[in-house]
Amino acid sequence: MGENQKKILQMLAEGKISVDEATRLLSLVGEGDTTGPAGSPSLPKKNAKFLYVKVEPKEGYQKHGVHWEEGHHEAERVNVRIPVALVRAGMKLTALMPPEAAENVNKALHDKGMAFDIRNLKDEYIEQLIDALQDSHIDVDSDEATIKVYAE
Amino acid sequence: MNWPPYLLKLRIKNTEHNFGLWIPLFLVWPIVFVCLLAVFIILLPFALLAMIFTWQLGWWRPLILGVPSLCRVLCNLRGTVVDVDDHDGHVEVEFY
Repeated sequence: MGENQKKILQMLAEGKISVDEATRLLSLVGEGDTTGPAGSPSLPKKNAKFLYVKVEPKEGYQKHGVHWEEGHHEAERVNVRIPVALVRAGMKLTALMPPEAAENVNKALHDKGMAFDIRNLKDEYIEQLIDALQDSHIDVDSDEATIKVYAE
Repeated sequence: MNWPPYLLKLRIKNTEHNFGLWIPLFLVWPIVFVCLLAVFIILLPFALLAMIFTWQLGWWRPLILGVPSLCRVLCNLRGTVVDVDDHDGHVEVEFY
């Protein structure tokens, strides 16, 4: 929803304009409003081609870092780029997963605190996840490393 | 149409090994295809028999349906990059 449309609805909520006026204004603003919530132009959404997972160790945990402290171990640097098409194709393979393997995966997920049944994973969920990763990145900032997950 | 990757870049670096390989997959695929075709022809009678005996159980269904899925995965491998660097070494795999 654009900024102008929000303003119109706000004016309607405050009783400054009637419903008819609001409808007329909304129809006028309608498709001409191309500004995003932050005032930036909302560009048409592009389909993501790749899913990225990047782990960058912080200073002191790097392989060739200069500030080594006792007790600190080296953090991994990971850079993974997976085609989204591969993720979609891989989803079809979940049907081939033997029940025992699914049980083991579920148990491992449960041990990590994720109560999720891998057999319930559907194509739509992955599509939604990729869409969400296009809009916003996942950034995890720990003591040892910075983890970024995003789709572009 | 997506084609399978034609090159595989492999780089392994640790205390014992340090090498990089460019594997021309476009030369490997025809060989793999011929071998798979031969295996398929040899195993086809046994597979058909197994399918008939396990028809009720439906085990054959995911196996047969899985073949196109596997091909799709193979064809979408292009662009995949896995680059891991830790205290044990450095591994880089890239499909072109």
